[in-house]
Amino acid sequence: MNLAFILNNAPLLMEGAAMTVALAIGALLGATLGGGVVAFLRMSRHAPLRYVATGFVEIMRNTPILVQIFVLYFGLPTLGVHMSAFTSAVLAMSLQNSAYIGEIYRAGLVSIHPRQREAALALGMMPGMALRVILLPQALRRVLPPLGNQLIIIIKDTSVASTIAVAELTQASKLLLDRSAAPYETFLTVALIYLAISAGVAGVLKLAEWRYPVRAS
Amino acid sequence: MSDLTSPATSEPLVVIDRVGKSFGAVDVLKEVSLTVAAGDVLSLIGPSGSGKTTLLRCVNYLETYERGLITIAGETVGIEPLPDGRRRRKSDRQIAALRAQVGMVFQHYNLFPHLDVLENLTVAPCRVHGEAPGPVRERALALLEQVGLADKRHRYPSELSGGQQQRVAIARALTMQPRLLLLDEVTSALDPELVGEVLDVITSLAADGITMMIVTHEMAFAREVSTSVAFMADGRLIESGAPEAIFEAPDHERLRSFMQRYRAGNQL
Amino acid sequence: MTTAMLMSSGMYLAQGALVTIGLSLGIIAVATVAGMLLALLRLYSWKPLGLLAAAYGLVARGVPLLVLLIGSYFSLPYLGLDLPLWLVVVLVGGLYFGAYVAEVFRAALAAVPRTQWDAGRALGMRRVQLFTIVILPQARRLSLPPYLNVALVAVKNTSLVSAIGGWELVAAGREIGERTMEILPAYLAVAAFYFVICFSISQIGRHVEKKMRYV
Repeated sequence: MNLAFILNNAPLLMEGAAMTVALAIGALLGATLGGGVVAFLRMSRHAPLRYVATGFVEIMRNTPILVQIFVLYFGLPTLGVHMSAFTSAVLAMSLQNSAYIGEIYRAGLVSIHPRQREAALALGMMPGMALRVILLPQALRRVLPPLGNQLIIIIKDTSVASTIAVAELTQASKLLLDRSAAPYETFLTVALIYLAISAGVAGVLKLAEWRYPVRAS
Repeated sequence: MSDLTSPATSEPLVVIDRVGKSFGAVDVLKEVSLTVAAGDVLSLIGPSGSGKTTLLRCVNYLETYERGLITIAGETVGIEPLPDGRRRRKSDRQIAALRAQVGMVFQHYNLFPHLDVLENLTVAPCRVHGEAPGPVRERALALLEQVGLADKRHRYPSELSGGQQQRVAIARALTMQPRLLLLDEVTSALDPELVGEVLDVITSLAADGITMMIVTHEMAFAREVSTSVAFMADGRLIESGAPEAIFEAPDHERLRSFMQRYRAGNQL
Repeated sequence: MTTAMLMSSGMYLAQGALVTIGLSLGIIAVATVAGMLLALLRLYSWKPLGLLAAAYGLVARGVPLLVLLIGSYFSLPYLGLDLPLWLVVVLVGGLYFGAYVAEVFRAALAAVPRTQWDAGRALGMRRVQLFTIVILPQARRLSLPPYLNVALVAVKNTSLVSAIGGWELVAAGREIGERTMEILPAYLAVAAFYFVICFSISQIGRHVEKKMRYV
């Protein structure tokens, strides 16, 4: 084991890890908001809005994130739209995960029994208040576990940003692999860092699930 | 509870006037007319599928109705009849304001599982009426005391038995200080040994003079608690009157056979 | 762009798509076998083996496939293993998705009610018989929709092969983009090819799910 090599390059790996986390947070924020829009449109009263949202979800789910990133980063400049590699990666991941997270939100809301809404309306709440005070808080708790799974997928998907040379963890490992004859050490270290990030997220999620338990009705 | 009991007036609190409703080709309510005076306890009985629950749900407009009109204290429910004979749905705000004055207790309790017992009671008065939390809390605690569950105030619904949940649901409806309480088969989902505690609470409410419309299959209870009873079948009001008359001297064949079947079932 | 160029570009992409489909089938085949084994280990084997399988699943599902691909591609020659790229992809991809398939199978097997085991035992069936005749057919039906979902993700992830120098649909698209200078249309066409493949899989999944509901 060539530990010295890893230690010498620790700063490069840590910067890579920080960029990985930054990408994931950017994508998560974008997709949390975008997912709300998708869910809202998918449950809209107006059929054309529903169709647009369904089409968006299908396209995002059935094409690879790599191709979506390439379309934004290599394709859009031919139309005069230029974005940095980081922006392209975050935007592509936000869009794709908006589709997934939108469906998670929708499933969460649909899983709340209609009687809950009825009880809220019978108490004199307006539909908007029933949604805010009664339905969303229950849906959020149910949505937490699948949202956490999605976040772990997002973290892993950030590795694809290395294909457009964003200096994240996978890109850092490629540099090290090129530079050295220590492939296992590099490989193992990078894998462990990814595992640690995922495990950290999973831990925080368990904590959140414990703090905000789903209660049966 | 004095604010829940109105002085006797000649004008009924609830007027149901030739109300009709259809699901597709099926008429689930046909020309139903009924009145409920303030302080009355009206029980709706009849075989399942007779439309009694649908009628009850029309009273706070959880169900729409296409014909006739329901009014509560002179205010039409859910629908604004226009001078040209057409009907317009009232705004969400108007409908919500009416529902805030009509309490409802459901067969499946429908407590909010993410709120504890006390919060279940206080959420609507605070959010809907914008009342200050302090007084609402006190009122809620007094009501929990009345239904015998003050010690459960910080429990969550899932930690309570069905009978306890239903008593909380009754207290929740009353915390809004409604003019009228609707009870929809409130003991049907309960284990038999838990039915009594819920019926006892309702009996004490009746003694307090709270106006109620009750859909029930508990005939002995209906007879004991009601000031009047209405028998429905096939979406039609067949017969209504004082409990003694309905139970002892039914006029209609449908009601007589319903009572016979009920008594036969009860003796088994 | 002339019609001839359009035609030849389309053909070229179609070839890339065939490679993508071939890689996907290889990965899914390996993943299915690996997943079944892992699920059986976790549910029915000696406890330490089960824990090992669980640990494998956690690791495989916590590390990006791209890292595993790059890592193996660089490391294997050092081990003296000079495998062709496609084989590395099929093995690494297969083992990676095997962890996901294992979760699918495990959930499906666990979802068959315990009473089914009791019923089988009451009929005098032996363990293996009971498993193959009673439990497995029920679990297979339950697992099909999520299994197809893993397959769909596997197809999409074959695009990573282009990032380690392999030739498939994305690489074909890149070459066409560079040759014709029509980069955006080239990648949109690549996306369209993926969409056709993946949408077909999701439609099959939906069809199966709908049919299951009536059973």
